[in-house]
Amino acid sequence: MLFDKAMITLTVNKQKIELDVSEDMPLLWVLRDLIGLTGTKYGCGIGLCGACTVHLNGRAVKSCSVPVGAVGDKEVLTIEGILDDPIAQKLLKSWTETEPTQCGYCQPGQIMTALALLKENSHPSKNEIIKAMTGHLCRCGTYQRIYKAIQMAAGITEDV
Amino acid sequence: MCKTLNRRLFLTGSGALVFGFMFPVQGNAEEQQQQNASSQTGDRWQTHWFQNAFIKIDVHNHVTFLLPNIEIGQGIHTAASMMLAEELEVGFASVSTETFISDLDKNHDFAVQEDFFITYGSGSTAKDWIPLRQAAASLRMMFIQAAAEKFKAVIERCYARNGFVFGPDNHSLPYGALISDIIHLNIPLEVQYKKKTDYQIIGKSHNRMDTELKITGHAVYGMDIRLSNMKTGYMVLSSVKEDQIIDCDDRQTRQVKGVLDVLKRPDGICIVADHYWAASQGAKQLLIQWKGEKESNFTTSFLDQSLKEGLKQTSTILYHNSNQPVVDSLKSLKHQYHWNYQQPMLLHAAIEPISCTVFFHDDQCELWLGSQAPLTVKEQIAQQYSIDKNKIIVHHNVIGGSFGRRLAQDYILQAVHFAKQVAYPLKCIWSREADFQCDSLRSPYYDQVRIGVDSNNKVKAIHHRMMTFVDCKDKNNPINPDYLLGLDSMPYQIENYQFEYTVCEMPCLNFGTGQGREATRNIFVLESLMNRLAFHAQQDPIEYRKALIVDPRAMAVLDLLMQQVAWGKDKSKTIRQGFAMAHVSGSYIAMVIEAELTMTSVIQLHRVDVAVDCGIIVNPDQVIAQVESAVVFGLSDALYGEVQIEKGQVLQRNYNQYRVLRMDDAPVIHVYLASNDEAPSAVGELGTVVAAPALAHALGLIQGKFYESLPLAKQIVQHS
Repeated sequence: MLFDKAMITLTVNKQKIELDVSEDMPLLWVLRDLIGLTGTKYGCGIGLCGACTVHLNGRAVKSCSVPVGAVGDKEVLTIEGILDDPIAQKLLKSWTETEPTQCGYCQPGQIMTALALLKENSHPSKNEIIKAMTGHLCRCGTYQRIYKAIQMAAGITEDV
Repeated sequence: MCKTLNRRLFLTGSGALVFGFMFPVQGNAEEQQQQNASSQTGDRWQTHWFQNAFIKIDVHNHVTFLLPNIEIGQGIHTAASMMLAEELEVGFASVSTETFISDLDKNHDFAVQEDFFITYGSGSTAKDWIPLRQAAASLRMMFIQAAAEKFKAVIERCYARNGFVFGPDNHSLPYGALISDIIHLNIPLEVQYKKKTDYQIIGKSHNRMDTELKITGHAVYGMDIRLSNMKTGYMVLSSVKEDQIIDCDDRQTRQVKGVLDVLKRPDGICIVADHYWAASQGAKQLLIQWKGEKESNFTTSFLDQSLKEGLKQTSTILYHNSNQPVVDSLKSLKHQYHWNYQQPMLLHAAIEPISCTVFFHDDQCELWLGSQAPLTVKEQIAQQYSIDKNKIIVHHNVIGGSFGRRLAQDYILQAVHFAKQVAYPLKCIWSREADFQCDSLRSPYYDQVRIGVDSNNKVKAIHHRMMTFVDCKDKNNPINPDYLLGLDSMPYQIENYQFEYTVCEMPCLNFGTGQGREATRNIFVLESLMNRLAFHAQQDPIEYRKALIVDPRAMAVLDLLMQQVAWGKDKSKTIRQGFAMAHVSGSYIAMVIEAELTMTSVIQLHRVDVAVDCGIIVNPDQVIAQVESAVVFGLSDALYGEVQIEKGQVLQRNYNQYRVLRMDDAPVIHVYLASNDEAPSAVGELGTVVAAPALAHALGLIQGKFYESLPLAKQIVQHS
């Protein structure tokens, strides 16, 4: 049969999960369909829209393009697992202040990238924010509110 | 005095009070706004006496608002809740709001038969403004009356605040304690609305009610549905409507681990698997040949040619504001211009791909879907499968964007047809590629305009012919009043304006409703020609328009914008400003965009300033958000939006082939809101209709030309 499976162990949101799964199955679908974490979204399947963004050892990645076999022992963090992170809490708060959310489908992915950015660079410049976030599509077009939310979470009041 | 709508008051089994009333079902914002202005509501709906909205208050004073409006991200649930909380005199935070569409909704202990809901046309807040406040105010008055009787006080000495009624001598009672008293009262015929000066909620920016759920990943979209024993169906379909499969080899597909079945219909395949990935891998192994691909000569150029051939056909006059034939007017005028405008097919390209979950079980059909008209399919399902409509249960999901896509019913019916073949819940998912391939496309348009100006270059006559495609089922009844959106309400006085249209039947593709509907087309044509006429007259485009504007609100929104924008201060040869304005569905919008086109052919959108008059504003920040959003959407389509067809199939299959603006492309947008006491009017799609003509103006000035077609980006090279 095509696509034989293997036993792998993932660490997702600090929990170890054992799965019998084909190693080339994208992490996105493992998360959504096998583990049931549907906060990570499918938008394009080819790494263009960013809706599927999760963290692997703190790095924001497009999970639709990461075969689960490549995850190894890296820690997977999804939108469901960020609530106790202090920087994430600032982002979630600033997201409710600037209100970029409309349909909301792309927002978890945007927040995951914003979180990785602020963890690496607590005071990003305008260009650094834009460069980090350009991998995301928002069909509702709320980019300037997303930008302001990131600035607000970082305590930035002016463009630099 | 407001006319009585169909309303009733009843108790549920758990002792909660429910006030049922009627929202108008159609989102024709301008019509509803006109009705609001004349203080008549719901007249045209008197043939449909039912309640479709419910205010439920329990003994603990918790308010649940059940309404038929579909929240697609446009913030209408929040706005409706604000209107409700204001007139009902309850705290906004005490209101929970849900879409109530299922007549067998088990979450609430009452049932209502309802057949039809639709949310479209940016019409929700406008249509709800009077009936919702009337219902809430009626209930508030009844609580005060009931409390006054208990306090043995006169009504005038009692008042409501935050879900309590207060009376003299420090008496107070929560609404929840008055339920058994008000049930015996008559619903008042005359309603006392709160004064605008007393508003605590309306007119002040409030957070959306759905933000937290969405940003924490807990909102359940159609793609997220998980049910016991559910399987996933991967849809394999054709762009060609009702295409036929002429050959299909699924042997390798069935070998893929996790693939459980390959469901077949003459017009499509559904690969069923334990999960999406397995089904998608199965799809890669499928060998399939479509009749449409084999035989179709449909290409983009064929469609373009077919549209232009429409000029030879008879057209239907839909609008003419003069007794003089327009051709005579044109002949009598000093100068005539002949311009033709072409606009492409567009995708909706919402970020959540289409899906629908269906479960036929016992004698029921249960659906989990996201739709702008979620109950429309019930009639078809009932007839086709001989199911009692009471046994068709619809659950509504959060929607990840629609822009008109989810007005069409095709995807729901396709899911139903496949789910009927199996005995488990089937979640039918359209991959991104299938979502694009099978979109209900925004039609292409060809507009031919003949314009006459007098010796002062003032436009006096326009003969406007439009050609488009329609769905074959609409061919015999093609009159679409939306064809005139933005034209019959234009802010300019043009003495002789005639609009006529020709529709060509194009049965092979699915056509549907796009963002901004027909106004997006009309305003591109109208504002492009206005900018061009101003140029030929060697006049400033704002001043040129001011000489034609007779509508004071249009003039006021233009003035509001000009007070904020440094207009006419062109910074360089490569940075120019463009302008467009519109009066659509009761609202007024004027936009300036500053755009740059470098010698390396980079287009940079520096800044957008936009003024909006949409009457009384319920939630200012969300109105601003909607305008920003629609502008970005419109700019995306203006620059890059284009669907191409080859052998009948949509060529664009993912976002690498259908470019949309990202954070590094999008301009900074400043929105200015007019303040007045006019009835609320349309907001959601307004920004889209002015985006393309304003941008075309700016880029055209840089290049010394006037664009007559979209999209713009690919034409930069052609006109260097």
